[in-house]
Amino acid sequence: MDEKKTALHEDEWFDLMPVEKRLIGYSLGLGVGLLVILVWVSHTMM
Amino acid sequence: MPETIKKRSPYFSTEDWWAVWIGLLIVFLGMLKMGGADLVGWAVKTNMWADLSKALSPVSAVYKGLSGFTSLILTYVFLTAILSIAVAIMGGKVGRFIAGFTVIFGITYACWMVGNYIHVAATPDQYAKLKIDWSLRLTGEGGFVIALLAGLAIGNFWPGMVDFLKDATKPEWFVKTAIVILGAKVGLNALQSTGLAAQVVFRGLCAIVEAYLIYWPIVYFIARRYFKFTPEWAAPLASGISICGVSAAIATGGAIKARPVVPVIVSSLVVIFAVVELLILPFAAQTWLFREPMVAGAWMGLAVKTDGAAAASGAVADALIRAKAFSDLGVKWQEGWMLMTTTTVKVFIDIFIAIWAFILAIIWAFKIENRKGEKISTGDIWLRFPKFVLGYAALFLLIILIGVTAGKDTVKLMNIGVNQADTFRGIFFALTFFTIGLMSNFKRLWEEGMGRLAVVYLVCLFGFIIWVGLLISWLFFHGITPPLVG
Repeated sequence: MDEKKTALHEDEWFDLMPVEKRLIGYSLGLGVGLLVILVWVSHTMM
Repeated sequence: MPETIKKRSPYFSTEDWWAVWIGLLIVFLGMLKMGGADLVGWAVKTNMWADLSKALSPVSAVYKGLSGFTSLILTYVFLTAILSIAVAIMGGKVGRFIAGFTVIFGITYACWMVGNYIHVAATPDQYAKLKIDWSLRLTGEGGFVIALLAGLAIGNFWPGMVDFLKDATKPEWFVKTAIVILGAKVGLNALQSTGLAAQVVFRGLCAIVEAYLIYWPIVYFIARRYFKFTPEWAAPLASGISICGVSAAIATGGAIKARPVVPVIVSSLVVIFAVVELLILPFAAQTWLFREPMVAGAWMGLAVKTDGAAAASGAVADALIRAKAFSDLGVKWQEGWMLMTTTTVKVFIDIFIAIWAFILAIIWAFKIENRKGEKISTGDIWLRFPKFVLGYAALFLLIILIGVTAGKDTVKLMNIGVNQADTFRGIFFALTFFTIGLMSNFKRLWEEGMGRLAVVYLVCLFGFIIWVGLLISWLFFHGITPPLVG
């Protein structure tokens, strides 16, 4: 338990890096874009 | 000892692979019915009962000479034997496993029998036939919930017993075995309605792609920006909350080379919250989604984390919604389609974990931690690929193949054999429920100082994951219903 407590608190926080922001942006953008396409496909072609 | 492990074949060294072998063995034994051999008909079946002596019986009429109790003992001996062989080959402590499994099997089965008592299980359409005027209407699957509650009681208030049972407390193994067996049952369902099965698979895949791409970045952003977690914590947390719990947290932790303690802590949170969801969501689905059964099935798969809790939620929702639809709408849907939707969604989730972990491994190695020169092989995908999915898919395809090529009589016998083997799926599900409860120590959350992690989980899960999951499920599955009985 002590090991877990130490692990939980020892790292120092730093703000989102550009690569993380890109990962978030691409993932979300792709998700929303594909949502529209896949819903359309599933309701028109299946 | 390490040398022994090194020499052991990878195909026989993990619970994941053993779920495949045991699931295949049970279904193949059942399918020998096609050749005239009834090799699993002695397995115990739990009936709805008012008289306890009629609660148990062998699943096949061929063994009607056996008493229900003898059938129960045979089932226990069979399961203990095959599981113990697996434990021995994996290098586990066989004696401790057998001792623990005996207690787990006994309590689980007792709970399942209580769940099948008529005043617990009966649905309104059965009142006249059973000559009763009330029941809790939980259906036979109510026994799963009772097993879960029993597990939770022991898990939280009897630590000595938890310790005694820990070598046999293996919910992930039990549920993976159940899902492999389910592959055969789903194959049978698909044979009867191939168009619907194809729709469920396609829409399930769509739903998963969406859930992945939308859930993960939002949880990651919230954990990093508002709760001030470092990437080492935020990534396993995002995968654990948004994708598929324990396996995703562990795979992501491995992919980004987080310290081992990170996915362990996240996993314990995942298990605890999955239990809370399991107790709430199937009943919410019964109340508000009984007109949209497939939406409910997909929702269980997208919202409830961990394979065990999700499959369990799907099974309970399937039973509860069919019962309500019959009493309120007068329609009798075939059993298993909602559960099939849940497990289809979950199987795709398990496949995508490997792909997502691979993507994260590359990003972390080359962009976030700059571990240049480090090579990531595509073999990593195979290493992290959930092998039980192969067993599920193999049985599904085998049943379809036999169904479309064999004669009518052979298919009929296969149907009987697979349904007999499916009895074991129910038993493995029940074992999963009880052992999930055993592992869920609510006090642990606070004792380990995980308050901040728990708050992120709570905010993300109940703030948007459940609702986005519902929306995605609705978009892809609304208007689709299971085939009618008869």
